[in-house]
Amino acid sequence: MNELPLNVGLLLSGLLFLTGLLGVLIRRNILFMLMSVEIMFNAAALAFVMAGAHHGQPDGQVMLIFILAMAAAEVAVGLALILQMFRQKRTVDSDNLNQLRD
Amino acid sequence: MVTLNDINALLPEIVLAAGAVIVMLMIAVSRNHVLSNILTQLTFFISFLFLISNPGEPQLSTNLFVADALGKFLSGLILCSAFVITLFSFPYFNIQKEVKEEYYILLILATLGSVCMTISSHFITFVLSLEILSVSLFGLIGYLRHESTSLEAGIKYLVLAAVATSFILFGFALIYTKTGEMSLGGLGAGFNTGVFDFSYLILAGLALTIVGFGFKMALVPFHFWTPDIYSAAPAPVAAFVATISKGAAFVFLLRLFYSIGGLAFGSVWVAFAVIATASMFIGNWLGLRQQNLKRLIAYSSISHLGYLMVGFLSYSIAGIRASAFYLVIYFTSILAAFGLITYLTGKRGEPVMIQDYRGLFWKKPWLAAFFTLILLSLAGIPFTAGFMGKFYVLASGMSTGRIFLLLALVISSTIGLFYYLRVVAVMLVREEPALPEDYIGKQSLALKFLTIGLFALILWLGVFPNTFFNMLGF
Repeated sequence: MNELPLNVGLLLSGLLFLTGLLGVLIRRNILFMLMSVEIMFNAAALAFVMAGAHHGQPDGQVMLIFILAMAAAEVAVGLALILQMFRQKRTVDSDNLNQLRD
Repeated sequence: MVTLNDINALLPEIVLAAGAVIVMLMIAVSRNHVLSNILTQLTFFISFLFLISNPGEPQLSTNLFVADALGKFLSGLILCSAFVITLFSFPYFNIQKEVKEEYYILLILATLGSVCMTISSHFITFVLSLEILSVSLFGLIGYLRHESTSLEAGIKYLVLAAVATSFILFGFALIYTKTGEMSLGGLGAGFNTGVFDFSYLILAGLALTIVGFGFKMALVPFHFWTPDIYSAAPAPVAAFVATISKGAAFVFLLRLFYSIGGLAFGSVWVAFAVIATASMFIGNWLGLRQQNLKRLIAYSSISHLGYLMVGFLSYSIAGIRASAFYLVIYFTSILAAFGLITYLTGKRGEPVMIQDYRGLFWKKPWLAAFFTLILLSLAGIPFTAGFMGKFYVLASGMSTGRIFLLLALVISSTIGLFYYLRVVAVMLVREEPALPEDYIGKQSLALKFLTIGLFALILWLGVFPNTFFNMLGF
């Protein structure tokens, strides 16, 4: 089986990263913002795995496992906060987070 | 292989991790605010004792951690600040309706993350400690969950910190793609022998990394979250975010860019210089119009991080020493400022508006004097700590001859002087004070001692900086 060229892999992960970033910037629903952040994490993880395969090292995959665990921890806390927000405001729209301003 | 020596070098961190577990188990047995607070203090104290018994010579532990003098000094600074914050937290949370004990678990874990970050010498350890710090901070910032502002701040910090972390991760991934190295030692050796060069992929990776660090350290143009988070987070937590989390991120930034020699590369240096100058000017400029004291401190901290970057940019041993010393002074001043807000917190909340302090001088002259000293130190007036910090940073910048940055520092601190003095002027107004009668500093002996201690420290650092400078050890 032929190895995927590194450039193609990098391009893919770069596109994924941009997709996630756009999602965070455009989406108004906080749940979707969290999902977009997950896509950004996974784009980085994909790049790590690809680079690890390119260099023939296990480090890239080690990084992937750490990133997965980290993302899970972050989402766990994030969902708890969002749940609390839903209880208070009955919405998860980020436009409602507008109390703090100059 | 992990040897007994490595474990000895990592004992401070092990103590912190164990402390978090012990506090958690203690809560399961019986909920007691006093006991949790004392256990937390003990954890920080024992960790500090192990830290100062470390020799402080550079010692690699399994390629992941490096126990050197810089890491030792900054870890010590972080532990001391965490100890001070623990003392502040007790009276503050004692009057809150929220469940109090879990706060201390999060505080210890966040400190663990920061301490690990200062001794990281590998991408993996850095990212992990960054996440330990960030995830605990989400909980800490949103801790008063029944207040909608605190919750809002927690959610905002969550999204922004996660985005910043993913920027750092993707930047690291690009660097790793090109070099196949994730340890700072390996990267440094590669760059210094010319095996790796600053190709486009590496520069793109460094750029993404700088964006991520910019968010973490609240440098312009990545600073928008700071005033919101500071104004809504509980005062002790705001102190933590302003000092410890920024200091820890700064240390790794310093290690990364000094080991690969990134600052010798023109465009990287220029990028940092632009960020530093923008932080100094915009931080001070935005502070001018603030009516909210916590937001004012936030803008002040943005400009202070800009001053700190001048030391970083001088790219020399003198620069590292000046930055480390500046961090001590910045930590002391900001802790004192938030400590004062905590001191005057009553049942109805924190005195956050500048107008709350009108007439303070005629009612509580000592408190007003202390507050004035803090503000003068933040502004950098001679005979306060802030002046000596700026002096050493300027001296380190002078030795490399970057006059442009030094001019920016001097001019922007002059702008900053206005808003610090405005607060002093408000305190001198002859009016009945607006402060609540039941503020927590009245009963708490610990708070009184801490306030006096910080007062003395700011003066001491300003008058005899050398005694402290010699403690740096590098």
